[in-house]
Amino acid sequence: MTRLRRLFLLPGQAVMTLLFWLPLAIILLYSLLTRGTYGGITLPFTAESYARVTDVLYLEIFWRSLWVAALSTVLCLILAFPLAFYIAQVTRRKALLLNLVTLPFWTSFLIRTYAWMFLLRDTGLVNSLLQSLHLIQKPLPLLFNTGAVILGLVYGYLPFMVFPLYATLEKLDTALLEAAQDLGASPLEAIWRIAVPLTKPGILAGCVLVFVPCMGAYLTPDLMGGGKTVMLGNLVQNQFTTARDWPFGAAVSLVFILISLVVTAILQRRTEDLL
Amino acid sequence: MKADSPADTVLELRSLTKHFAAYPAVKEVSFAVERGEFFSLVGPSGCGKTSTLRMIAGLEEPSAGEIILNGQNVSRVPPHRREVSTVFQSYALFPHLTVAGNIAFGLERQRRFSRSEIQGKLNTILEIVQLTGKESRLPKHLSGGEKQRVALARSLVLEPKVLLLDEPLSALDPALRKQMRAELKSLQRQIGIAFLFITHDQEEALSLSDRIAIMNGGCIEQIGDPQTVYRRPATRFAAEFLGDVNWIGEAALRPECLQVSLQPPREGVRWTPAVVQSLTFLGNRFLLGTRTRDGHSCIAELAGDTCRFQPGQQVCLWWNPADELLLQTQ
Repeated sequence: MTRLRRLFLLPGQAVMTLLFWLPLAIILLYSLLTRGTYGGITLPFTAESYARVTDVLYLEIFWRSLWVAALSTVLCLILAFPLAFYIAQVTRRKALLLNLVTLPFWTSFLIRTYAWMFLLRDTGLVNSLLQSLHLIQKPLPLLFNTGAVILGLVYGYLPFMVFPLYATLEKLDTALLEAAQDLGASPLEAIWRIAVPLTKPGILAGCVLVFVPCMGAYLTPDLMGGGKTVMLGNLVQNQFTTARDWPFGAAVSLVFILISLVVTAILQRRTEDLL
Repeated sequence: MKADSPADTVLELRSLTKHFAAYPAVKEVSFAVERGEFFSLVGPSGCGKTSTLRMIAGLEEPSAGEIILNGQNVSRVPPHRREVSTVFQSYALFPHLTVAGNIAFGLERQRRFSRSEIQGKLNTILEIVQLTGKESRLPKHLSGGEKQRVALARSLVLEPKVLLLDEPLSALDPALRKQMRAELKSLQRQIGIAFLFITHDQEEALSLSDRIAIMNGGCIEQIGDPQTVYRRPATRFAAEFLGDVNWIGEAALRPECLQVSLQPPREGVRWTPAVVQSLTFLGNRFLLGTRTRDGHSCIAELAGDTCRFQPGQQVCLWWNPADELLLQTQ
């Protein structure tokens, strides 16, 4: 049985080695080499790419990615908590509502992003509706800015916040909320003082699941931001294509992975303290 | 809203009714609890006692009827504005708060006490429930009895008009249950707050209560002090819920009211011949299982540590007619 159990690990290990550890090693290698004249890489080994990461121009992109991801995470949390609470503690139609939360995954993220663009562009549904109602004279700038990027990220990653919150709220004993109200807490106070603190592991898990992919988002800033809100994912893509600077693209990727790991580790430690 | 109640009544239910969908859980329940009274609501599971309690706490909305608390109609008042407090069956202690945090929770919500006032009240109640020195522990590090005392302290510190207790002893093991039962009674005497106590355990109800209301199928069958409801139960259900009943012809008798002898007894008592079927030793007494000539099984309770009867023996069961239970026919 013990030998069989080890065999169970093999397929996963093989996939991780081939498709994660090996590419990661290649990226590390590339990041320490010199750029070739027409792209690609060449000798000698150098740490110059890492030195360039600290350039103000790129630090700005790191900083933007950080705050856009953080703001999107907070917005997801604010939107997801009441929804998850309702599904877990109030309604009896849990299965139906949970299925509705996953419904967007039935179509490609790319198609859904284009759908948003059709809604938000100058001649899109929102603007033409507002104009036909004479509420606005000229179209509102709804697309191709940082706000649109955040909207796209919140929309895309909301389910990743809902599920961990639901999982912890579902286990919350309703009697605790009743006891809080019985002791004089208003319904909102009961949620704030009892449900929120007891849901912290779920909150932290949801934050990791939303924050990390938002940090590295590529598609949303590219399409919804119209290339004007450059985030880390766009920087990396740009280095490997237009700029033809593979070592620098690789270095940015690794620094990004490092930041994500640090943030995740901090949140992980907080979660373990709570459990 | 003012509502007329006698001055010594702290809680009054008037035709309180609760329907869950079409199912009537509580049907026109009315009773009044006096100040400082230990009032028990007893009945089998599903009889509506918990629904009644939850309506008083404000956790369920009544379908009809009124709840008068301290002269005010509170039927539509939300739970956090009602001056009652509940000790939940599972205690429902807040797992992320310490003993002190749990007990101070209600006081902090009221926003009329300073930090030092809260600390003072906390110290007083910790002493009353004997938890001094354990205030910084989390609930998961407490024993069952300690959790129970935190739940009590958390409610009592708010000085509610009525303390509602939903089978608070059922989660404890039997030895601890007896100890906490005694503590509960002395605590109630000490602080003088009215207790509305829910249980399905007749021994608990009989030993703790000033008065008992027996509930069955959503209705109150009888209200009275423990001796009255035990010795003079109004209905067959009340008689059988509060203890064992022997049926001999038309007479209903408690086991301890039956006497057993080998010879027919003196005049002025009633008797019937029977055959001993079983003998059960219970330490300080015996239970004698018998069968009368007309086929009724009867259990007689005999005091003492020896028993002179044997299974198969012919005996006479006799009793004082005054001990017969007078039950309403339903």
